[in-house]
Amino acid sequence: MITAGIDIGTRFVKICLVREGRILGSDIRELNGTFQDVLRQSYRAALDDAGIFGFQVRKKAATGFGSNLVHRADFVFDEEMCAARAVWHLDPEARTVIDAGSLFLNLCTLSSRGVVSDKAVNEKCAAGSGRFLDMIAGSLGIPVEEISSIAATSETPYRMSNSCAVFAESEVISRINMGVPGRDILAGILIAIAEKAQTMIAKTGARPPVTVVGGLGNIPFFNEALARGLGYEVKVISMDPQLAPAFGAALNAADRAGG
Amino acid sequence: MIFAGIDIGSLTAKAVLLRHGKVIASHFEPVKATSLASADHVMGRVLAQAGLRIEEISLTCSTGYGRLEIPFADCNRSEVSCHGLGTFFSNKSVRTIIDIGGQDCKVVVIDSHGMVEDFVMNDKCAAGTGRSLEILARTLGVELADLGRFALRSRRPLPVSNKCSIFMELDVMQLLYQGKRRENIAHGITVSIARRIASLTGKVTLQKGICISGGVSKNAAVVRDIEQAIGVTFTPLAHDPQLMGALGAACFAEKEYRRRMEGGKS
Repeated sequence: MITAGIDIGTRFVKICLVREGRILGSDIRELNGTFQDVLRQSYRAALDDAGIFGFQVRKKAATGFGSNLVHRADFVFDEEMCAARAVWHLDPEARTVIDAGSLFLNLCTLSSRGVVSDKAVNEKCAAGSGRFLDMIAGSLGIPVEEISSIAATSETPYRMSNSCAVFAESEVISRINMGVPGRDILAGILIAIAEKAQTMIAKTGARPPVTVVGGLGNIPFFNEALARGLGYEVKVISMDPQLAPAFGAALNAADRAGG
Repeated sequence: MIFAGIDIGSLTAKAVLLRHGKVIASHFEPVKATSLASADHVMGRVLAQAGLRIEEISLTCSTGYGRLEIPFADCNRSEVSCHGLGTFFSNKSVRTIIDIGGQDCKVVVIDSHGMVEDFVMNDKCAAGTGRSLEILARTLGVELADLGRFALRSRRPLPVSNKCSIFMELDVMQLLYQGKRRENIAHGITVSIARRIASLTGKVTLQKGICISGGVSKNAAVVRDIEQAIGVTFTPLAHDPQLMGALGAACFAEKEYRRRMEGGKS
């Protein structure tokens, strides 16, 4: 049976088509313009990537912040249920999963049977968020793929004095103009996000090993900063971490549909 | 004798000239690259309005973010003190001032002489400041001035978070994706800003005679929603509500002048 997982984040649509626990095709697309158009294009692209027809997809599951916007979903699952399902599928040793996206840090702990036992989400404040990192990398003219390697060259990470993302953006722009190198600014932001995740881990009493999924999982510097703060290894999964919740949604859909 | 007050805010520079307890000139404009350039320019404008030269000013007092960077100012006072005294000058019955500027908002309680008794300020989070309105107007795809106009046409505000400007933006985007009416989204934004301000006013004991000032007070929808959120009707002011800081600075310039005359020391 083929199932689709559709993850509507705050910045990207992620779609994963899955058969027997394996990814057939996928698509990641930025949300801009008309939402329903982006969703349609992304779904079409994922079908093309898998080389299948729409009617072959038996069940569709939606997840993420905007899951309510997917009208034709058979199921709607919580973000952490999906992230946890994907990680546990790939690594049954996993005990704590952090889904680090643009604006939300979703954390959950897993039992040895893969059942979600505890979960937590960050406060509604964009300070120290992936979105903020994105805003700043954009004003520095640094593409997302290069953020990690550039941050890794920083010797003195720049720590923001403003705790509000909106004010910090003005602060960063004035620092850039004063000659503070982009690498120090990026490194400082990544360390701040890692500290936020670390605080959440400490509060929920989560256990190692910790696995990071979501867009930030693609930034090794973030994983390393988090590992340094925690004092133990942070694991990465054997797929694009940004797609993990969509993959988990498709797996959950197959479980529910009985096959 | 003529006294000048200059208020260099985060987004707007203002200046006021006072003679015999009357405002004879006033001006405000967006800030320039430096506080000094802003101060020079607004001062030039009010002097031109009144047909005066800088030598004819008895004393100048500065306030606002850039108040320490103006060499021709003879003294300076905090924004909170200046807003208190300036608003009191504009209406003697005022005892509580809700001031919403570009990057901060404050609630100031004053006594029967216009002196500060208590105040609370938010300058740590952009939510509820002019800055957040600017961001949300952009997300909605309307001019800042039109945001209020749109909101006034709505009777059904849609739910918008009041925690963080970026999350508010996210809610607005979701409502747009759902194809909701712009008027109702705009109304949701002004209600959310009003709730944010109301939560700030809860931190001080409000005294009767409440008024609103600062750039955001020119947004009729936000003003209406704040009045509803805290259950009051605002006391009107005799002068432009964006000039209160500069007006207060001019009042302080006069006080300082008298102090120097009496005390004989500077």
